[in-house]
Amino acid sequence: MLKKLLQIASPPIFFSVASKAYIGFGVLGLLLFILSIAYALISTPIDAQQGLVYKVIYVHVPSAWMSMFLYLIAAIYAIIFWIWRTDVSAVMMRSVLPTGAWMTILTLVTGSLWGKSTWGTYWVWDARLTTELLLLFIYLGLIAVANMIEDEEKTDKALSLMIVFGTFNIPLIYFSVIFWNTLHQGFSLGATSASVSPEIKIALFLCSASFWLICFSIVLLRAKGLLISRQSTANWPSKILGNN
Amino acid sequence: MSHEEVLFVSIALTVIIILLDYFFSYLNTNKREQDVKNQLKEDNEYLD
Repeated sequence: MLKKLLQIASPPIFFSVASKAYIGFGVLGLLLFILSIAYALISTPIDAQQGLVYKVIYVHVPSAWMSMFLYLIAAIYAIIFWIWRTDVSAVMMRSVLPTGAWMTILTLVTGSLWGKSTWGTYWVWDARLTTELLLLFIYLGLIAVANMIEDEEKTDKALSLMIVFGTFNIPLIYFSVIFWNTLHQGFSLGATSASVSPEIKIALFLCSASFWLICFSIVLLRAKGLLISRQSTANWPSKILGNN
Repeated sequence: MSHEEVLFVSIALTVIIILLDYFFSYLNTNKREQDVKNQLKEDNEYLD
């Protein structure tokens, strides 16, 4: 197992795996997205209080989960980079950031639209909303840092440290509905959530799985580009690109 | 906005964001791979 994991950390193997995996994940993710949204719109019941608009949950919740999860992935790679200083970890740490930012934007916009219909306002300075907005600023700041400095090695060191520091915001977002008295509803799923019909759970699970696949496909696509330009002086790019 | 409009805009926005992210990632990766290919070609010509 460990041997296989270490092999993935080898740039040519990672490049080959990513080149195939991003297509598979992408096709599967897009198909699942279409099917799960269709299932969610057609087969799930309409909420007695909110009506049809609650179905925004099927894009809002998966994007919110991905915005936090992708940040944790970046943080894990940042820690791996600090320990082993591998190019693959540096590249993955950087690749996750733009997709994480897009997911955060999607969460905030769909949440605002949903909020206008149910709360009567697009925005309130609620703990959940504010910490999610802070996450967007963290992502944008990190993307700016990643593209600001020419020296990649120095940037990677600074970036990894900043990503790890920024992790404090993730538990704040997740537990904000417990820590503070918020307008935002509690956990959508989990021990403290209200009972949810099985159709809604299935639809939410399928939509989330499609978001996972799509996001990982995009991250791997970005990572392979970053990796090959970083390793352009190594022997393997000529062998791989020469075959294409 | 009506409930149907909110739902439509949210799903449309999701699709647009996913496609935009794919598109820019693809462009960026393609450009980087092309740059490396060109560099390799230049190096080979220099060696010849």
